[in-house]
Amino acid sequence: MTEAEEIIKKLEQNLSSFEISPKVQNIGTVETNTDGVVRASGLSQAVMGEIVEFETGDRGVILNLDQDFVSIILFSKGEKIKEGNKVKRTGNLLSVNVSEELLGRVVNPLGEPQDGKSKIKKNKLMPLEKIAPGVIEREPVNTPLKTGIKAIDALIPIGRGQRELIIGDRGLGKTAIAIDTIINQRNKTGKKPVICIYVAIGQKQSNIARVIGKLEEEGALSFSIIVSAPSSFPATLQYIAPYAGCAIAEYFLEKGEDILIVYDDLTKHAWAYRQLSLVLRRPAGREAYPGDIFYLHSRLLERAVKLNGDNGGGSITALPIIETQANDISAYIPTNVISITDGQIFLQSDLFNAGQRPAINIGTSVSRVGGSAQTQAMKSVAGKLKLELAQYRELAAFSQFGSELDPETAKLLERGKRTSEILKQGQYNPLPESLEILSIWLVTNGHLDDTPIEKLQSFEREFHEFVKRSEPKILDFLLIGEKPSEEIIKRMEKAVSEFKKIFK
Amino acid sequence: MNRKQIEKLVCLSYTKGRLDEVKVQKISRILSKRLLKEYIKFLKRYEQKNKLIIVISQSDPKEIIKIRKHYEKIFPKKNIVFQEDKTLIGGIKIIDNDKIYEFSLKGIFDELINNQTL
Repeated sequence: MTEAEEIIKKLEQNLSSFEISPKVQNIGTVETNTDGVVRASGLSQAVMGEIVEFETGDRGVILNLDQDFVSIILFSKGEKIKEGNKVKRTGNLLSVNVSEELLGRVVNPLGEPQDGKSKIKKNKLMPLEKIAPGVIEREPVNTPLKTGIKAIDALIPIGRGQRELIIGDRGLGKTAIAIDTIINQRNKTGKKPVICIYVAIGQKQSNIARVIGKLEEEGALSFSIIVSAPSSFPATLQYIAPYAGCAIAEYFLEKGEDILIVYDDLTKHAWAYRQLSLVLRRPAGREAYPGDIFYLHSRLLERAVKLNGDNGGGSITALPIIETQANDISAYIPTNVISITDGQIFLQSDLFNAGQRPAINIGTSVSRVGGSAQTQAMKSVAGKLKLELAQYRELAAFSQFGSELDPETAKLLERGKRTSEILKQGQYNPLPESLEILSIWLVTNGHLDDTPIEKLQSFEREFHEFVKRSEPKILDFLLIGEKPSEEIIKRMEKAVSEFKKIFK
Repeated sequence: MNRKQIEKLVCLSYTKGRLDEVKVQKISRILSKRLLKEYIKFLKRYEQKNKLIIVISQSDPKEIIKIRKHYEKIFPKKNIVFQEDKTLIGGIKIIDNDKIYEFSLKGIFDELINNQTL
């Protein structure tokens, strides 16, 4: 069929479905426009969450339905909207246009490109608000989502479909953990990469640009989508940003894909919602947050899911980020999100200042469901690590009171120091699981007891290179995820003894 | 005075479906500035609710009588007002408070433009 014939056929199809029917419109009149909220009379048939359009071209969404008025929050500054302007319903609920073209792109919460590249073609409109899948459609978390960070993969493992909170003060590396996790999703030979969505809420444009640049540099942008709602955007867009990110994730979930979504950060999201609620004159509660602040985050995070095989088997793993003030995790929003999520990674400033990076506090960090998703290979080495770290923490506090220690205690303390040292890891340097297992195996089996602490980092790095060169079969085996056999352990021990001869 | 009482005052301002000036003057004298403001607002809204605007493309007196009779049957309690708008090209547009019924040629053309897929 020629191009002309195709066009004519399309026109004919349009003609067959074309009906001349009277159009009924529901309109309203603007009464007030203050602080990004418009009160309009009329619009008697409008529904909650519906998009409305003003005669000035501005758009907004209905968030309050009163007896005589509706309150509309604007997507733009709305400076041109005046009293008496007409506003009409669009009949559409809040939704975002999603297609595969979004991969590698930066969009705003309305799905409009922000990276100066081509327009995104219309494909499927996904609703921003959706009821989370029910228990029948779900299955327990059973597949690991590897972060490439030793401390997390070994001690606080994350599974696909889990909600793991990253919490800590500003500047402690919360975003760095999320970015490392995204970077680690590349290089999966033969496997589909996990699609990563990074939702930036209320952040500085420069920070967002840095994240995008880093992802591009590390080759992780091709399977990532950035939903950007910087602090310069109206509070409305900041409020809908995580829901837009989740709607995009659900599009890929319907296709049976695995998705990782990072909400950076939900503290600012709560601030945006507080602002909207106050200008909408909703009653303020604790810390001036509205009464439904818990539901705001619970309905979002409940959409993280691991679907069973009958429903496509896809998953959405959520990594919400919360910023605390002075390490206070008992504040209002942190406690809310801690209770919603399946665990938290707690970053502490003391550890950060002491040079422990990532500054994860192993004692207060927990993963409630990820343990069942850990591979047998990792489980075999991580169990011992947890025990040793717990003993070390107890003894380290106790040893401060006395100067004389028995040899057994001194040995445990030395081992603990080495364990803490081996858990240190540079930024943007996620490791494959095989190398993580190798490092942890080294320390838990005492192979590093005779190495000075200051040389541990270089020992680890060079040993990885040595194994890659001389014993690649060990790494191939560890990648499978099975518990290492006697033969593999012997080969690992042999490799260590050979490496120690050449290591200076 | 609460909202319901003001609404009641607005209803009392009408005699046989028409706004009674004497009643309005009497009511306005007993109200404070704030309440008078509210009263005017409610009065405007009441008027808007009870008004049916019919927009036509050409004002032909015979046609107007015909249309008025027709719509008086459909909206017996409404005060029908006619407006002329040549941009409609043909047909009529009815504005009933916050609802617009578009039966004009312009409306059809607008719909065609909005629904074009090519």
